[in-house]
Amino acid sequence: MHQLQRGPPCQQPQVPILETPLLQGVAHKESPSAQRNPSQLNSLNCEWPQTMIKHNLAIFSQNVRKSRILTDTILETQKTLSNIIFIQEPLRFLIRRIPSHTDPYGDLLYRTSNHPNWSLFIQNDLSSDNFPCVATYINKCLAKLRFSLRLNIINHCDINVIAFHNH
Amino acid sequence: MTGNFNIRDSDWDSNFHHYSIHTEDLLTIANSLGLELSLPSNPGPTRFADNSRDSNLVLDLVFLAPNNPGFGQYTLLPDLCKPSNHVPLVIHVGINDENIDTTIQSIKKNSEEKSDFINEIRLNVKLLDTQAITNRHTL
Repeated sequence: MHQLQRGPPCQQPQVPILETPLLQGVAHKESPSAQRNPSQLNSLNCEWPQTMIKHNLAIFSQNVRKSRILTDTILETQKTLSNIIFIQEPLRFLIRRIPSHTDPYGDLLYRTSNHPNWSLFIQNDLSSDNFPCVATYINKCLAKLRFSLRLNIINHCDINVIAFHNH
Repeated sequence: MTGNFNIRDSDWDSNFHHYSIHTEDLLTIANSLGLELSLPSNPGPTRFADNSRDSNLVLDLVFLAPNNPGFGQYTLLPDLCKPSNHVPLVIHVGINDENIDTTIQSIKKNSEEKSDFINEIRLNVKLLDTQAITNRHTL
């Protein structure tokens, strides 16, 4: 189960909807600091800051039944379509053995799929016995919204509580 | 709140004619968060049976605030579920407008950088080892 919570309301002044949305529910406006005349822009290999206005969050949710190819396909194909991906039954694969007080061969340490366009939020107990059954990926284009996994509210392998705020 | 809750109930699965003892707890938790069960715009099963003896099920649920613009609007994508047998859900959750500072990068049209970039891609494609590809099925 994935639970999304919104933090305190944004303190910044509201900006009107402008220009053609790049994603559904998104508009872009060039920041005042980045406003340049055309001749300046032509002399640059264009890189400039903008303000993206979010009206909604696009969420993709699926039980992947521990399929690595499906997880990797979702992460790649949804990087320009979705803001958040909720995965149930994420795959796990062995990274290495870590020193153990009880097992001379060491404990097994697992992890799940990752992708450069996504930030992974998953319960931190990645041992073999209790590997999390849910994983949440947040698109890095929303990094400024400061998402966090609220383990202080619920710390359970079947539940992710995700909060975000923009301060 | 969304996910695979593994609860069958006639409240959300018209092909199932029983109630689950877990339904009340689930709805109580959702209601305590101000959420209600949201139905998809294209209702259907969310988990396909692995064999012909079993039936298709509705197990993947979405709970939203009833005044959210996305309530009752989410979509099932049954054609995209393979190799899983669970259907993907696409949900658009309305939020208060958020201003997010970001950086846009692009290469200037008809510039030297653009031609260099395309030439680099062309060169690397040429360097790909294609000996093992004998027909379109081995691609």
